[in-house]
Amino acid sequence: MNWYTPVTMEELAAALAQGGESSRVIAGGTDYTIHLRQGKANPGALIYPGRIPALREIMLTEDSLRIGAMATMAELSLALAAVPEFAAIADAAGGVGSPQIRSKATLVGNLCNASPAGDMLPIAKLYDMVLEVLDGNGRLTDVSVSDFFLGPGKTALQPGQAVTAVRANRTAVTGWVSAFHKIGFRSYVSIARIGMGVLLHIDAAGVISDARLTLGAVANVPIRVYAAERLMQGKPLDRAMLEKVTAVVSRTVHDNCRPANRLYKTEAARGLCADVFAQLEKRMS
Amino acid sequence: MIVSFYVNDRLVQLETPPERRLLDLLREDLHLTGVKEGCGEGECGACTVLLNGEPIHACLTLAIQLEGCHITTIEGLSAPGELDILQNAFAEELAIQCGFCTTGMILSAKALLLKQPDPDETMIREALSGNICRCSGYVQIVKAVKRAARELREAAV
Ligand SMILES: Cc1cc2nc3c(=O)[nH]c(=O)nc-3n(C[C@H](O)[C@H](O)[C@H](O)COP(=O)(O)OP(=O)(O)OC[C@H]3O[C@@H](n4cnc5c(N)ncnc54)[C@H](O)[C@@H]3O)c2cc1C
Ligand code: FES
Ligand code: FES
Repeated sequence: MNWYTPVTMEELAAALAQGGESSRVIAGGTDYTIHLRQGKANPGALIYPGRIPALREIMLTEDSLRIGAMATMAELSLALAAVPEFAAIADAAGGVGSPQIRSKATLVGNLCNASPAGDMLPIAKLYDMVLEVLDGNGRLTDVSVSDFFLGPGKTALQPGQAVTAVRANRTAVTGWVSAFHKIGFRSYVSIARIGMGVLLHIDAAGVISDARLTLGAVANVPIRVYAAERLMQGKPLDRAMLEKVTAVVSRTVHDNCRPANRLYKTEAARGLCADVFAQLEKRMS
Repeated sequence: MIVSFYVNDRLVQLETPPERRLLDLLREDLHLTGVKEGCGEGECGACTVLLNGEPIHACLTLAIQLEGCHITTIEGLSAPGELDILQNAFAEELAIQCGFCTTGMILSAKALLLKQPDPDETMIREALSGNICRCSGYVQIVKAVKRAARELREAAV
């Protein structure tokens, strides 16, 4: 098997060009090693971009957050736990697998793997992230999350392309507070999982002036629950509001799940809402 | 490919297919058999080693990812025939039964103690959450890690 271990972006582009259609990028390898060994993947060439320093960076500036493709879950949970508007990313990254998984698994690998149960899918949707995609000609293109996920294991990424980073707009969410929670555990029938991300802007009077809510592992791609978002607007973060949001989330889960999963997931949605909102309250005080 | 990396602070150079696992490089090529294969898919933690001080699964790490990295295995904790403080604490606290999980358990504990010299029980349980023991209770294992932490702090003053 051919292999490439580029140390610069130029070398990565060259590897993508030379590696051809059947080349594959390996990042942390926590998904891909298993696919390789199960014979589900048979790449013509392997490209490991972990030695490109720029790809390891997590860059937080006043107006944006940029996460390099090789930044790990462990690094993300450490870097973002104290940033209220991005704490949901830390929640999700800190809950992936075990310490051993988090030392290697990347957020970008989670998105590229595109398992509907991947914890980072509802996160990418929550922040309307943009993926920076590099091709063999050295061209970088922005792809928005809404165009990236096409279905289970399917993304808009073409053969011969690699994601180099994802970006989130910080200006749009400065002063907001966020949280993520998931229930259930990983299993090969990813039946027992839902992840939920919430991002709120609360004004000085304690009223929610804007809100975003996303769900993962409910449908084939992560979804935003606009009905719940509208419901929250103009209300204080109290029990009455929480009950209404819970009802909408449960209904959304019910309507989007395969019939066999409905009862379990609908019930689970209630616990999930309680946990996410408890976390948000803690972060606001 | 030819890959150069450090194992227990010694530079090694191996000729290997890029998709070969670190687990096999350690056990077969370098005869470091302290690292164990349980599930082979990231679930059990028996294959835990340290990569640049962080715990990782040797069963989910491939040769192509290793260039320039520092790997620590159980053999790197002490000189042959000796036990370091953690190994000794596991023996003293009867935290070992069949021993299959032990090397991985100790390396996860090592990674914790490198960052946190005085961990509480929650931190210890979290640090060991990716290591499954089929035999002993976790109570003795947690005690062993606490004991090692205390002894390491005492040794440091
Ligand atoms: C024991 C265990 C527990 C786990 N627990 C969880 C969990 O709780 N939650 C969860 O969401 N996931 C979990 N996972 C799945 C996995 O760890 C994550 O999906 C992880 O984020 C994948 O990242 P990686 O860097 O390891 O990707 P890799 O395995 O390296 O790659 C995954 C896929 O993405 C592609 N890819 C990676 N990077 C790029 C790039 N830069 N450009 C183009 N393509 C790319 C690869 O070609 C491959 O197809 C678990 C896995 C295991 C083994
Ligand atoms: S053998 Fe690697 S985790 Fe089980
Ligand atoms: S001592 Fe036997 S598995 Fe832990």
